[in-house]
Amino acid sequence: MATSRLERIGTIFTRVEGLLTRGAMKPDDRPLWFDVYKAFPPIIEPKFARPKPEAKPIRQILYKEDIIRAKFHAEGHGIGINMLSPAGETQVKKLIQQYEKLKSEGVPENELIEKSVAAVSTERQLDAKISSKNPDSVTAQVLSEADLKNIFKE
Amino acid sequence: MSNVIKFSFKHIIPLSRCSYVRTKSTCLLNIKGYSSKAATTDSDVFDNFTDWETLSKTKKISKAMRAYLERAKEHDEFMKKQQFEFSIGKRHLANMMGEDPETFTQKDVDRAIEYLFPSGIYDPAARPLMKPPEEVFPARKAAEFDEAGRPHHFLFYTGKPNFFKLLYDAAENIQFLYKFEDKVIRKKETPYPNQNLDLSNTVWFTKDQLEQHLVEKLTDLEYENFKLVMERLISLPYSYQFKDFIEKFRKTLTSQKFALEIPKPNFDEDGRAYVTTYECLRKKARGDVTIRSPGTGKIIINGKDITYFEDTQSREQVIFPLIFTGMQNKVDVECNIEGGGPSGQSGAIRWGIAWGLRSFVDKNMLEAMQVAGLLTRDHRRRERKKPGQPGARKKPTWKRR
Amino acid sequence: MLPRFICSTGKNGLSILKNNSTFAQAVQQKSEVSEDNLPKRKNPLEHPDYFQVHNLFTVKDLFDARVHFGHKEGSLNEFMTPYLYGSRLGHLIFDLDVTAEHLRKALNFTAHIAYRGGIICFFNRNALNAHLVEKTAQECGEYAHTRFWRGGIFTNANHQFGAITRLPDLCIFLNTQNNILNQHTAVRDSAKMLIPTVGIVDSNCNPNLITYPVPGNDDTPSAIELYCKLFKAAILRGKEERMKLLQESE
Repeated sequence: MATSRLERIGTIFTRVEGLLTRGAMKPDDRPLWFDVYKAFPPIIEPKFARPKPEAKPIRQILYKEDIIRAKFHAEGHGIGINMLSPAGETQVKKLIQQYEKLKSEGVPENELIEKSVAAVSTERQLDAKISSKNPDSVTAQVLSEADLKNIFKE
Repeated sequence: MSNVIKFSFKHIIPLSRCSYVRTKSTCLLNIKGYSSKAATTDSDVFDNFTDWETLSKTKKISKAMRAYLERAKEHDEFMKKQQFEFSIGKRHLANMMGEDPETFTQKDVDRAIEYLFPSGIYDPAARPLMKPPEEVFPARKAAEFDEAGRPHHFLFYTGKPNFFKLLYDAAENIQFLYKFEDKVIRKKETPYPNQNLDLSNTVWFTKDQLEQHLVEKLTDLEYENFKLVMERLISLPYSYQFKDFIEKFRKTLTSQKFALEIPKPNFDEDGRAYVTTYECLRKKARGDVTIRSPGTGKIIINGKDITYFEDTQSREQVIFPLIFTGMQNKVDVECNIEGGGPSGQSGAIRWGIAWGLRSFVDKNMLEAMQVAGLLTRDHRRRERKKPGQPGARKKPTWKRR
Repeated sequence: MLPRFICSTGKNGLSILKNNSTFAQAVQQKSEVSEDNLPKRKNPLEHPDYFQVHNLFTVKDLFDARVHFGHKEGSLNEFMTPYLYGSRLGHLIFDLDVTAEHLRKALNFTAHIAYRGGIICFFNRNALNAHLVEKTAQECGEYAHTRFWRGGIFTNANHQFGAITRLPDLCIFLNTQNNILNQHTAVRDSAKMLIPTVGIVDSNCNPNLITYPVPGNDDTPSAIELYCKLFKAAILRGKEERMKLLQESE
């Protein structure tokens, strides 16, 4: 092929286009993708040598409740997700909800963390009891199917 | 070979069609040429493009396929020429030998060549020969792609499609077994308890064997990867489901080497069993050993008894296999030995006795003898003297000056 | 380069603009066109989304497949900054609206290449996802290369394969890195050999040589699964149309 192999100059499209306009490549020999590229060019021209995008500081994604979240994590709470039912809310989210609820009820600031942790843990125990009775949940299903005692025997 | 020929004939018609296309496209080009003379702007050139789809239907044969067909045609013509020359040569040869050219076979050709061009060259491949061209020129690989130039194999671009397909299949099977095992555990069942995979008397293909099987050259790393993947596959509990797949890449071990080879003893006129071992070789000594059972431990060497050897070491050598097997008073030994010195002769007799005793001992003793090295031939010979030094290895005394 | 090009092709200029429009507009366009000329087969290139690839996925699907997760801030390639939404405690997050736009472009291009009977080759150097990628390639009747790249497979193909060989018409990279440090050599080689590329570029990859880059997570199996599903669907749509065309023309 007559094409240049210098991939850093122009783009694959401009290189083929140049050959075509100058007659080095016959129009019938043009690559299969050429028309498609012409009709649907990429959003940014894929040049190797392109100016660097302006250096903007990366936006930090932060939420208001991050402060509360940090408090829980500092105490070591809020770790643990049920991988078998990922659709449910995470532990931290429940804690934050409890925290907001208690705060609106007027519980003093220094007791908020402990009280919400206690409330959520009791809720969790209740949930565990229900889920063992609730046959629809994924956890209960898997637990009932698996023969836990003999799981390593074969 | 026949495949290639068939293939090329099948595609002669498309080729002719292709030439038609070519003429058509040149017409188009001419038109384009005129227009470009009138006004050469970018838009004009691009507007003159013929639609790719209409092109694609006529331009079905790709460059790759065209090149392949050309090469195949060239090869066919070459082979035809060679064939013609071979048949003429055969007729000449038949006339020279004064035989009928019509009934002159390849065997006759070989014989005639050997007679007319006697050669003392050691390597048979270097001697003159006259074989049909199909045997002399290697068969060509058939095309790996279709008319549009699309490869047949989905891993073609890796360069080793067969090998990587093997790894792909193994991974597929492993994933299937993982899922199967999960299902079994959930259902609390044990399917096919009697099925299992017995691989005790087979081994994985060696690298060469695998290369031959896949028709691809492999690197050491790739072979290691192959073994790793297959070991993983057979380590899974339900791997017997892919027994066929696994056994495709295993070779059976040659087991029970002795069972086939051990000769049954003959019986002489006295009703005694005897076994004769010929070609007992050690160094330059050569002889044969006959063992008779039952006997009283008589040893006859070239008509003399054990005192044929003067030194004790040689005598020990001769009686060692008898003592080792505990047969020193149960068999008679008779041997004829020539050539070499006492050490070589005694070694040859020792091996001959041990080899003959195989017929008179049980299996456990046989294994013990194997382990003790009694059944191993000693192939060492005298090493030649090298020029510039007094012996095979010995060097002249070294002096600084 | 780009403006001149749009001016030069007046006919296609419009379709480019149409194609850049958002998802909703595209749907509208499609309904208009379908009312106008049903019986006549038109050039697929004039339609902004002939193979309807826009309805293959939603931004929610991308989110569920964890496409938005990038690498840590320290490994950021500065050419990737326009595709980022932000950084969550040091982890970069992609803007999925931008990703969706790029992915639709890439899928459309892929479908068109499949429609024209092009060879499409999948690449991936991550051992975790290699089998999935090979399987996808096999299922849509295309090609895959997920192994060690011997230099010169494209640039020295006629010698390597021992014959004149047709190279792929499109390379799809589900992972453009060879290892965490180097770019896959095939990216450079396909640019050399005038082969367009579609590539999933993570926040530590250089998108410059990729013709149709798709910013997104290139490590997580669930994300790769989604990409494989989408590209397979696009290729199969293109091939289906091609079969129809061939049957009609016969």
